[in-house]
Amino acid sequence: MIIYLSLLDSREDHSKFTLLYNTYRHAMMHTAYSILNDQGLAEDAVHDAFVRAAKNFRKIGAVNSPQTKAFLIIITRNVALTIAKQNGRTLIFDEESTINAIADNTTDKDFENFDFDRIVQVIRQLPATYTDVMYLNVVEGYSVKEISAIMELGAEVVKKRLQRGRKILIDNLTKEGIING
Amino acid sequence: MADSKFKRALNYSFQQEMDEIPPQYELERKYVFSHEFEEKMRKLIKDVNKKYVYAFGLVLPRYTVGVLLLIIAMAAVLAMRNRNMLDRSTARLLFSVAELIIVLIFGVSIKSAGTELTKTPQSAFSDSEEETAAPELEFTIPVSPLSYSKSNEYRTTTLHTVEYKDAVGRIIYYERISINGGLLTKIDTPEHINSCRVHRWEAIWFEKDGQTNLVWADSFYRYTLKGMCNIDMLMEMAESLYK
Repeated sequence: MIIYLSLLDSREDHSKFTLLYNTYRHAMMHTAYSILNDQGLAEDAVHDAFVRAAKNFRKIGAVNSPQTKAFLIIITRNVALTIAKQNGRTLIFDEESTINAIADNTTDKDFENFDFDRIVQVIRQLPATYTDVMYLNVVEGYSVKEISAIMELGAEVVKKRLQRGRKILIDNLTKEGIING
Repeated sequence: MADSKFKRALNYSFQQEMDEIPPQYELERKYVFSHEFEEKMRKLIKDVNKKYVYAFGLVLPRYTVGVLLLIIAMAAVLAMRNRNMLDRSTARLLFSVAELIIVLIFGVSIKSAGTELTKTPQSAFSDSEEETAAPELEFTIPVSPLSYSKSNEYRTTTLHTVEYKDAVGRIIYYERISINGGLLTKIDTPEHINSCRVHRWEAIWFEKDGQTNLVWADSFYRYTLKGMCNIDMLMEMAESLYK
């Protein structure tokens, strides 16, 4: 019988978590506040984001790295959007209800002919619900299952956000007709 | 490659976004966290400091897992002892090691029961004040029978055991265990048992697994003497405790 025992927390981990808190709490607060516009709710979001970060602690690398910062900001944004939705502060597109309405066959090859700066520009215009899962999947290399655990979303929702995000990107790029020469 | 371009574009757009977050000193001025938030975070950081074990998809405190494993190990030792797969001294040693680990980790004492016990009240093995108030026998041991000599001894505040061995390896085992005020102790005996007295205490003796067993109790301790010898030898040893 193989028993898998993995010890998560050591003294170093504790220091690391404290360091994460001290380093990024204000940036996370900034992210949460920009969505919620309420100090109390934003603090709740930051706290919940740290709880989620603790659950996914093994996925976090060096404290002072752009990846870690992006990871925590994504988690915070996700939590803040969920709180906003619960408090009726924002209308969030409900993917689950429209999942089947989207026929998507977009692949990465479709980006081949577009201008890099334009892709960046269009990505910046895309809702964070899509860009966050795409970043975790494409840049950080997390699987759908891992993203599902980080974002506390269903795997199907994550999969559809990935597909739909690409589809919207391609559509928007095509509409503009900007193709790299 | 297109994928590479898409990946780079995504990464670049995220870095742009991160760069747009105001610098730390500005954020520190802008956002002052409430006392409630700081308190919640302090608790969270404390919780994170707890040590966990991930096993079979479960997250358990490391100490809990440690105790469970020790209990399983102790149960295994008892089971092996009951099936005569282990001799008593080895079983006792393993038990003591497990006990020591628990005491060192938790600062509490989990006392081992003799293998002949089938059920013993929890309080019989606790280090309560009443127990410490019990008369101290200063670990008096029975006299060694002719041709036997003491080969092993083990002492805790509640348990005292001595082994006597003769030249051909026959063992007589003596055990004194606290029963904390005379609470009932069940002993796994054969159907046929004999009554007798040791000093002024009621006693029983019986034969089991080729060994003669003599068991008696006073107000504070239960005593056991057993070995591959006759009852007279055990009685003589028992009475020597009170001389």
